[in-house]
Amino acid sequence: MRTIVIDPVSRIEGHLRIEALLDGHEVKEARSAGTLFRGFEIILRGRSPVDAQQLTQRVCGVCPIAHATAATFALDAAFGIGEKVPDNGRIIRNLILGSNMLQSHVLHFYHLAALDYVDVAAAADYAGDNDDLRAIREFIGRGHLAPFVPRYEGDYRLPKELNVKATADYAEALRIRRTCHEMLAVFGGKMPHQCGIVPGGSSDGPTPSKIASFVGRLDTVRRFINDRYLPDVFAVAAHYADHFAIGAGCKRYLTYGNFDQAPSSAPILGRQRFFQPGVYADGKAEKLDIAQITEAVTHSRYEGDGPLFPHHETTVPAPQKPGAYSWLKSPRYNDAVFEVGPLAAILVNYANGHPLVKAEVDAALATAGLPLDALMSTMGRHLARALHAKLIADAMFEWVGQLKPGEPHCAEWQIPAAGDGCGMADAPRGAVAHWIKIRDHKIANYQLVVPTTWNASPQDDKDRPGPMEQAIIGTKVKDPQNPVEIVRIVRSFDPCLACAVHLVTPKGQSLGEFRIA
Amino acid sequence: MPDTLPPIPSPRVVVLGVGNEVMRDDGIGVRVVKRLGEMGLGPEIELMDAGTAVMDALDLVPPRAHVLVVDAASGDQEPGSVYRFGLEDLATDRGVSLHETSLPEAFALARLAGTKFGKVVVVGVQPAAVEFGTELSPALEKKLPAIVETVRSEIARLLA
Repeated sequence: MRTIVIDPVSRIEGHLRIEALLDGHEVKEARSAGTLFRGFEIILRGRSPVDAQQLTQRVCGVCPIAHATAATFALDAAFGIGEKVPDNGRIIRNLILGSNMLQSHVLHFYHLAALDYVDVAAAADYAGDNDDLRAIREFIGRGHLAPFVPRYEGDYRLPKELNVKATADYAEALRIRRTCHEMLAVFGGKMPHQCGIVPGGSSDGPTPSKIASFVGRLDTVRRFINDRYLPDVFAVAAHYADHFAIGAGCKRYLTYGNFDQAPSSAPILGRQRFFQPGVYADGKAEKLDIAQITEAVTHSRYEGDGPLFPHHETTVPAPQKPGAYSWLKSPRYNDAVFEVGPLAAILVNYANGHPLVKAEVDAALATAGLPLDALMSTMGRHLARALHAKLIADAMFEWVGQLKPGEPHCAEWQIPAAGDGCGMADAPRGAVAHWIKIRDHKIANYQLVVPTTWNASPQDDKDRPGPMEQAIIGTKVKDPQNPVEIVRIVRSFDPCLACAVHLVTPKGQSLGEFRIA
Repeated sequence: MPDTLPPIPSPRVVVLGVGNEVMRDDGIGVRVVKRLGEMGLGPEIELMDAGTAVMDALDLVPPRAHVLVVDAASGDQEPGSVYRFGLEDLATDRGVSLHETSLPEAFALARLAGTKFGKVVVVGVQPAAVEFGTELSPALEKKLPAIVETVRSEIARLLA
């Protein structure tokens, strides 16, 4: 038996560590450990409730908008104004979240996942006149390969012309994500840390020129998704068809849904959303009952054992606790392990007969020659994410057309002396929930359960591995020195961890040389 | 009110405060930028709170502006030590998550997307405490005025 450890040691905190125990070439056991203590609620306690919407955006450098959304839903509910959010405000929130979702999906595929499958070095001898490919050729020529080279070498199977095409699209994707940020900024102010999503609706209303500015950019992004992103995913999928058979994991899925179609204060039930919330297992979707969500801390470095409903939890660190190996807790639903992310949104809504989801998924499966169950896999997550992007981009055209310049965009509110609220939405990487308790006009308690806490959770009170651990167990690793199979599975979840930190790390040299004060 | 504003002169130096202000000293870059903002620097200097989203912030840098990044730096000197790096001095390790985009990588990707930068200088500050909290450690809080002065002299070097 030998152990593989995937651990980006350059970061002090906030990262994911994966340990896989191999028997020969097969993974027998896997442990995923978040190295970060969850103590964010301590910062929020005693502050003004409206700070939650701004401060929780800082939890995550890659999905701040979903945190702003969940926090704002929780505040709407606690302030008792969820039903009063005007249509303009509701739609603008959807457009801001949708813009961020599109940029995240595009960035994840090209910038992070594609490099495991697409060989950028194919552009090294490029002789054509595409400016992007010439620029990449120059980068490679100067030895500046770092941004394009995965830490773990892929087995590259695409024919050269497809590698070159996908590499050109990689460069274009960088501009598309910028266009997505511009869309977001039209209504949200700027990225990161937008200020458009606020309790009661949105901070600003629509004007004809804002709408025109948004629609023009959305059209560019939609054309990229349809003409480049989806075809590239299909091309990769065709050459890595075996990746539809690995990395499945727990095969149970949970989504909070997204994009409200009517104002509401309800956390989930009674909320009409474009993507409906729900759970999916064994080919069937069911309604989501949030009372069934619990978190265990049996193998987490916290006092207690659980499982408890998040709103009733405390967070008391216990670094030396026997048997604990992660700072993440173990969220479970109805006493079972569930995966979250775009794949969950697609499967739940497909099984519920969502006509647009069904049409897109059926067409995609027919193109790829696959059954629905193939989506429950490493490659299936990428395909589901791309379809999710297409559905959102198409729907945003409808929503932006429903904006009414001159009409209200935000309801009036006052901070109540006491109130409780729960806000739920799907971040680009899955279900995110915030719970707030207001007493004496201040935050008395705040709890967050973030997407990667579900996906990268450790074993629970019954020693059942989390979704990512289950997805890795049983995987055959060809070269334990270069465990690309495991890395591909982990990346397909698009993991993020609560609370990013950002430190620069000098390479090699003594830091003394650089000291200026 | 019209929803377009009159053009403002393009800044020559963008100071990018990087880090997470809810992770105590990790947020030193953001704190420095906020302090500079209270000093009323001229229109040739633009201050940006980038949080941990460096790629997103680089989208907002105007063409050919010099960029001064202020970030926490992990190393072996005492807390509050200030270092100066070029991008070529920094590690570029890749991880499994989008959180793990290194600073040199973020600049390389922005250049590939067509952004032209002037000089890029990174000022790194050695943290004492990287953990949940909105306050700096006492060590950094004490040295904050000196750190801000060092950053100001780096801005002056870039403008010279």
